[in-house]
Amino acid sequence: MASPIAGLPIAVVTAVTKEYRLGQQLVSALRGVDLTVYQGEFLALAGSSGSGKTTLLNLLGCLDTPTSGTIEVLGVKTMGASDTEAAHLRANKLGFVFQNFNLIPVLSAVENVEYPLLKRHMTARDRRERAMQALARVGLAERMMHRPDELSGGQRQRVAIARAIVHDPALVIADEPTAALDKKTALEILDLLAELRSQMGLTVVMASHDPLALSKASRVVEVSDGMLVKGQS
Amino acid sequence: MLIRLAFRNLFRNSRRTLMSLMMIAGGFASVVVFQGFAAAILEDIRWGAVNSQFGHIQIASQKLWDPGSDDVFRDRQLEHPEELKEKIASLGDIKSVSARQFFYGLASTGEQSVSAQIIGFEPHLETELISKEMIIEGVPFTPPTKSGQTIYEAAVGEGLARLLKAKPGQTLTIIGQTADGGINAIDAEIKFLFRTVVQEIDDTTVYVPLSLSQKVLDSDGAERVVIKLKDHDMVAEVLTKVKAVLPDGTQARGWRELSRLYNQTERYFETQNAVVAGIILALILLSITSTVGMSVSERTGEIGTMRALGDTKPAVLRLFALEGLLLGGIGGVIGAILGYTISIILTAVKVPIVLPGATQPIPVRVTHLPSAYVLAFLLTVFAAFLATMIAARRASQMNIVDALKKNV
Ligand SMILES: Nc1ncnc2c1ncn2[C@@H]1O[C@H](COP(=O)(O)OP(=O)(O)OP(=O)(O)O)[C@@H](O)[C@H]1O
Ligand SMILES: [Mg+2]
Repeated sequence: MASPIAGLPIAVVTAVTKEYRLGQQLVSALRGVDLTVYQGEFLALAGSSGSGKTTLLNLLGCLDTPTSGTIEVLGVKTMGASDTEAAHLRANKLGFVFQNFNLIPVLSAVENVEYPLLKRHMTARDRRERAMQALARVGLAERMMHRPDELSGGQRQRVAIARAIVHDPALVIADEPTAALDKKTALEILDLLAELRSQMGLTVVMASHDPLALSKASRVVEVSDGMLVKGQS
Repeated sequence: MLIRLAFRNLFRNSRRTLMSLMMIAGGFASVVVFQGFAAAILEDIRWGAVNSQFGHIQIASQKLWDPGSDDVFRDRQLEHPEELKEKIASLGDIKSVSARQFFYGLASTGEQSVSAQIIGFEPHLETELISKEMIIEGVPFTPPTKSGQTIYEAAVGEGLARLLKAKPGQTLTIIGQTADGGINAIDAEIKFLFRTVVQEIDDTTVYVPLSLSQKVLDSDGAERVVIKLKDHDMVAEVLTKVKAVLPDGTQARGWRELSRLYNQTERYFETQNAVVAGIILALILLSITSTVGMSVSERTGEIGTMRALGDTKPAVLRLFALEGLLLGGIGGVIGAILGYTISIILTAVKVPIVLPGATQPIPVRVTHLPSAYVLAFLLTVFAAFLATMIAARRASQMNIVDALKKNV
């Protein structure tokens, strides 16, 4: 099968299902998904609310394991990985951007960006320098000492993006990164993600139902009722 | 940076943290004050035991310490107290060594007769047994003469004097059984009435010069030899030296072995201190568990984020543990300052208390006991650690995806 994007596979999802138990009921969030994410692409997962986008992103981000099927992220099969192995993979190779920014409120912008580096053997000075560089990349260098509650939504999401890229991850996972922002700010954030992707050679997988967001992606895959719409994997 | 983060997290809800800190500090201070108070009382009892009762070390016949039913009076006596005293005096570190005699007898003023315990001692050597401050009426004993003549004088305890209607200057007839079993009666002049710190002594005791008691008993012996040391901490050391030179059939005992009151009080306070420490441990445990527990609940979303960013379970545990330890540590420091201040204030205010069996109230004192501070600190940090672990385990065990949903 010819891939639409030149690049090596970074993540491979094969025949994945995910069921949640809700009381007596079993909810099928994913029902047989096959998907390959290629290096360097900006992949968008589209689909209505409840279709299974977040579930799929959580599996790709090694935050959860599938009920059946296999997922290989950067050569690691997530089913067999221990809790600690998954944590190390996330710490070293993955970056996360969330809908609600998820910054740590008691830390300043630059400290938030430093946070993923705490797990590295680095001097405080190097850590600070890396964080500053990342903040500069997202255009927030002069706000480094501000706490999240002193920043606007767009600025907070920039800090979150800086935090997601500070350790040069192989894959950035963004779940509805613009859903909490107004249209103009959303556009800025999307442009920033696209720009970082091309500058740094990042791979980005984003879930969104915002048409604007989808227009910025290099590839769009639609999720519907726990399955990918045919011919898109 | 982790410590900075823990510190800031701690003061996110500053009211709750302050409440918790007050609880911990209060608990810490209670331990320190209670133990310091107990230590001060024990010091007072020790002082009384050494100075008004036992001296530091006593030597007596083995049969006085462990009486048998067939013993006769002479078995319980030291035969050559003077020789023994000289031998002990040459050992060093000794302030005084003197002999005491003791017997039950009848004290009579002619008008009233009351049974009493008669203690013969050497007033010029044992100056603290009946100090000048204890004389409530009359004048001290006449000092002994070179030739060692018998001094016909007596001193009567306050309570006993009331029963006898005795006054200084009167004649007191002391009747006792001689070493050989006969009855002897000797007249002595009452020199003074006394009040010690121990009620029981004041109600039952007649003090006389050793020579007079020997006269009544018709014996040169003594019941015991009493040693006072220059330095209180030397007891164990001197005791060993004394034991090495003791004649056969005699035994030496330290004041601690002799003072039942001290031992009982010490045991009582040990129990009380343990109970206080236990209660406080529980309070601190509860307080920190709830503080950290609430913090964990409120920060569920954040915990999800931390885990998503690659923190392992132990890393999450570590952060909360650090917060708990900081809470305990800061609480401990405040507690130490609080405890120290309360100790000083209580001591300065001089609240009067009457110890069991004592005649007069003494002002409350609180000793600054370094060991109590160490114990309280260990207790606090241990409680903080344990409580945090209980609360933080829940944080680290959380499902990441569920926790992340709490971010709104
Ligand atoms: N923890 C859970 N327990 C039970 N059911 C769940 C759980 N998480 C998700 N689901 C269900 O799985 C399905 C897919 O949910 P998911 O969150 O992946 O959808 P989504 O495409 O991200 O939707 P949205 O656009 O609203 O974010 C939904 O039906 C949802 O109710
Ligand atoms: Mg979603």
